[in-house]
Amino acid sequence: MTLKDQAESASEAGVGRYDWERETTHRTGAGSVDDPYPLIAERRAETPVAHDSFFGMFGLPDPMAAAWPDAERFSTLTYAATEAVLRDNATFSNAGIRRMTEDVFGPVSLMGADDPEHRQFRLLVQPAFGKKAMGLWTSWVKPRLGELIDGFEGDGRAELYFDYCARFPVFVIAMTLGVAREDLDHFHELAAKLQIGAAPAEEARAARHQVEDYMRRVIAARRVAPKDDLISLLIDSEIREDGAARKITEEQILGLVCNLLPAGAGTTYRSLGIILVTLLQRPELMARLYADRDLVPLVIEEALRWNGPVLTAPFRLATADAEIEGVKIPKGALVEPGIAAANRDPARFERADEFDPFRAQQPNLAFSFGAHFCVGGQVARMELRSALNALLDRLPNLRFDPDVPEPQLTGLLYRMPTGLPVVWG
Amino acid sequence: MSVEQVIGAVRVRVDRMRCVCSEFCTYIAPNTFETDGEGLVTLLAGSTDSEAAVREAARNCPASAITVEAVEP
Repeated sequence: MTLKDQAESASEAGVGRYDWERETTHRTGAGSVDDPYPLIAERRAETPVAHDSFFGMFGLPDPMAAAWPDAERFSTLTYAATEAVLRDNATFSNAGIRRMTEDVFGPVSLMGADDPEHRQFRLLVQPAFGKKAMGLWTSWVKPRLGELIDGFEGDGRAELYFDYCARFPVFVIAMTLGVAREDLDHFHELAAKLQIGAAPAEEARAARHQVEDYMRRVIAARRVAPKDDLISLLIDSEIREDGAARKITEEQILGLVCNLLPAGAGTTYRSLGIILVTLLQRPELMARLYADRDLVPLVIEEALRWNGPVLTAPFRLATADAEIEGVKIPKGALVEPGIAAANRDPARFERADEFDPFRAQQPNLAFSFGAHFCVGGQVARMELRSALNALLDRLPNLRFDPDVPEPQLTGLLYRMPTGLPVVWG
Repeated sequence: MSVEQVIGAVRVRVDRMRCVCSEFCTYIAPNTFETDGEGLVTLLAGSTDSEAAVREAARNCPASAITVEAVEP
C-alpha cells in the first residue's frame, strides 16, 4: 500500500490521520528540513548562542513568531549554554511561551507557568508518572500494543509509523484521562493540534474547546464514581494558594489536561518512529537487538540524544539583561533552548554526530532540563521499551519494505520519519 | 522536604520539593540515590559510590535538588 493509498484508506475510515499529521508537521518544518544538524554544527562552531531563531536560521517562517513579533531572538547551540538557560528559570522565564499556551491551553498551563505556581501544579501530576503508577500505565500500554500487532501480523507487511507508532501513546494518555475507546481517533487529531506551533491558533483553540467540553462530562462522571485514573486523582487534589489549601478548580484540571494530552502523544510516537527507522537502517544492530534485549534501553537513550523528537524546549523570555557563555542577552529577548543542538555538542559528547548505543552513558537534554524537565519522561521510556520489545517478540527479521522508497527522517521543530513501510518473516 | 546523609568526606543533601524525577542521579551514583513510589529522589544508606560520582550526580541534576559539601574535619 502506498502512502497515498494509506491516506485515502485512513480518510475513508473517518480517521484522516495521514492528512492532518502531514498538515500539522509541515508547519513545523517536516518536508522542508530533513537533517538540521549540519547547519546547526556550522553555527555552533561560530557561537554558543545564535542571534536568531531556529526557523530564522533555516530561512523558514516561524510558526511561533506571531506571539512576539518584535522580540529579539536567540537560540542556544551548545550543551553548556542550553543547560544554563534551562537551569535559570527566573532569568529565562516561561512567560515566553505563556502567550502561546494561553491561546492553546487556557490560563492554566504547566508549560506556561513559572515557579512557585508551576511547582504546585507539577507536584499534583508528578505522582501519576512515578514508579508506583507505572504498573497502571503498563496495563494500558501492553494490551494496546498486542492488539495493534494482531491487526497486521497476518499481512506480512505494514506501515508501522501510522498504524503502530502513532496509535498507542495517544490511546494511553486518553485512557488515563477517561476518554471512551470510540472517541480515541478523534482525540488523536485534537492532541496533534494542541502541540505548540503545530496548528494555526484558531484551530488549536477549537481543539482545546472540544477537549474541554468532553472532559467536563468525564469530570462530572468521575465526581460521582471515581476510577483508578489521572482525572479522578486530579479531582481530589488540593492547591495551596496564599497559604490556604483549596480544592483544585475545574478550569485548572482542564488546563492540565490540555497540556498533558499533546505532551504525552506526539513526542513519544515520533520518537518510536525515529528509533525504528534508525534501527532498520542498521540491519546488523537490529540483528543484535533481536538476540540481546538488554540493548533496548541503550538504543532508546542514544536515539533520544542523537535524533530526539523535539528541536527546542519552549522559548524563554529574558526577564533581565543576562549573559550566556559570553553572549549578551538583553531583557525582553526570546531564547530558544536548543536541546537537540546541545545533544550533538562535541564538547559534551565524543563523536556526537554518530549514532552509537554503546557509547559511555551520560545524561542528555532530550527531556529538557531544569524545573520543567519532562514530567512524563519515565512513562515515555517505558512506552518506547514496550513498543520496541513487542515488535521484536512478534515480527521476526523486520526490515524496510523493498518495494517502496526507504523512509527518512524529516522536520525542524518536530522531528519524525516520513513513514515506516516494513516487511518481516 | 530535605534529606541528608554523610558519605565519606562529604555531606549529601537532596531537596525533594525541587526534584523533577529525571532519575539522572540514580544512573550516575546508583548506590547513593534512589527514587520512591512518587518518583522523587531519596538517599540510600551505606553508599559505596565515589565522591566524584556523587558530585557528578549533583552537577547533572536538572533541578539543582542535590547539594554536596565537604564535612568539617
